[in-house]
Amino acid sequence: MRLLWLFLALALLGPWFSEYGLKLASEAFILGLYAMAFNLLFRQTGLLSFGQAAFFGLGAYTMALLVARGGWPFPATLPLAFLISALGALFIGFLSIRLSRIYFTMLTLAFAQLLYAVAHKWYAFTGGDNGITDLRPPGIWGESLFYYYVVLFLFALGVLFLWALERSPFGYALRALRDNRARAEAVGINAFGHLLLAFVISGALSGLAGALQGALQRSVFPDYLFWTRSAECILATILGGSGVFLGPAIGATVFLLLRVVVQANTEYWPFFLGALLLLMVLFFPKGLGGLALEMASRRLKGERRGASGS
Amino acid sequence: MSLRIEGLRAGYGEIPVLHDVNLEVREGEVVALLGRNGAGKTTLIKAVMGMVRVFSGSVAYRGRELIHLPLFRRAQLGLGYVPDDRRIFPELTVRENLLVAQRPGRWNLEQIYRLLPRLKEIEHRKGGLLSGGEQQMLTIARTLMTNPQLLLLDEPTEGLAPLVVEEIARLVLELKGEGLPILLAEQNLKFTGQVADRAYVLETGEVRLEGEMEDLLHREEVAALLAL
Repeated sequence: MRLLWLFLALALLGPWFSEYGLKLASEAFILGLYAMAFNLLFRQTGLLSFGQAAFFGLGAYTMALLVARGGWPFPATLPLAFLISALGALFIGFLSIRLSRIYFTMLTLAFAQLLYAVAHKWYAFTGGDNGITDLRPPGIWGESLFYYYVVLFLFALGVLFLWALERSPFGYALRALRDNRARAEAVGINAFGHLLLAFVISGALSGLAGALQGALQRSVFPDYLFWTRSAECILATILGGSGVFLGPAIGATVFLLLRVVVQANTEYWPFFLGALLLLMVLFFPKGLGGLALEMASRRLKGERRGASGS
Repeated sequence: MSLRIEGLRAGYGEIPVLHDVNLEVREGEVVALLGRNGAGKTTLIKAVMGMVRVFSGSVAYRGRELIHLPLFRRAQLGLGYVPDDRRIFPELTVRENLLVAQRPGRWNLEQIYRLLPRLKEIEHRKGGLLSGGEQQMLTIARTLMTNPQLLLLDEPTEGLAPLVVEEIARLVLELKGEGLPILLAEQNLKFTGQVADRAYVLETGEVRLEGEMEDLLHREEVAALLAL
């Protein structure tokens, strides 16, 4: 219910944003969706994927290639971007989920870097380093306010889906697997099947985010598949707090705002980001979202105490 | 016949713990595995679930060979396993712990809460915050939610207060009354005497004695084998 109010507020905010504000907000929703998709794996199953860029990039390239080479209308490419990323995740997940923890993380990273190399070297198909440009969606889809609503709608849809997932038996099963895999299998949960499905859902949503980002930027480059792109969703999640449902989306927004502010004033964004992450991990491991929840609950307790005292 | 184990050699790594074990659990029967720590009771139950290495022999459930099936498939076929370390899912609430295991059948949330009202009272508490007795109740209840056709209980009374042991005996008898076959590993002879029909006494991975529970209760060798 509270989520719906949030989406309504964001929708009402739309017309008040400047052109630049709309772009920034759209980007925040996209990165937010991407980070929340990552956190489905990280929080619910305990799997640390360091290759989410593979799916982000697959989605983006699917959209870009269909538009630029196939002449498809932009909206029609979104379901396909979703599907292709899901298939990519099915393949990569099938091979990596068998491995435990650190090997899983390394293998996802390796697959993403492999795709990056392909996109980078295969000039004839992907345009290599030059990327695929001039992707402005036609007509109203290319207008910032309309696009803001498109992105907000899909973000809301994705978030509600993840919310429902967390409260479904499938969500319980994922957390049961994270808590204790053998125990979960002993009550008849197929660990591999469940983890693979979670991986595919996460990959598909990441791919959707990638396609939206490509259209927002009007271009897709190999760096959509580069490992720094995988790091972005992890950074946003750490910043916002992986233990809070909306944490990754909050982290994504703060991440983008900080980048704008810092880059306007200094050249040292990576340094600043590193220092900030160090502070977060050392002093606020629950992230900004966790911090906010803690303060809210403390205030609530304070009020109760005040009420009982009077 | 619910469960038939023949010529089972099983253990860990290269080392067998069980040697040529033969055992049967008939439909509707409660069978106890008695023996000291290290006698092989837990290994035997784990072998039925496929959690240890089986070197040779057969584990058949309702006539179907299980040896090559993974753990979750055995659970889906109707084997309900209650481990001895009674580790529930600490991050899930009591209710979620139960729902995660649910499969269609006689047992559902409502039935479980009727049988164990205490769980209803604490349904929104995280599993990790329960007392030992509550955790044991929840572990058994969670296994019932899978609607098992054969229940494997590994030392359900270990480390529990006498009152809680009584409660578990009541629960086991109730399940027995419904005709659910149970294989029970235990060291508590009093508890076992209350609930079991037959028993096997294990020592160093071999079956030393078997028979009706009532007879075994009065035999001195049993007391000797259990070192009571």
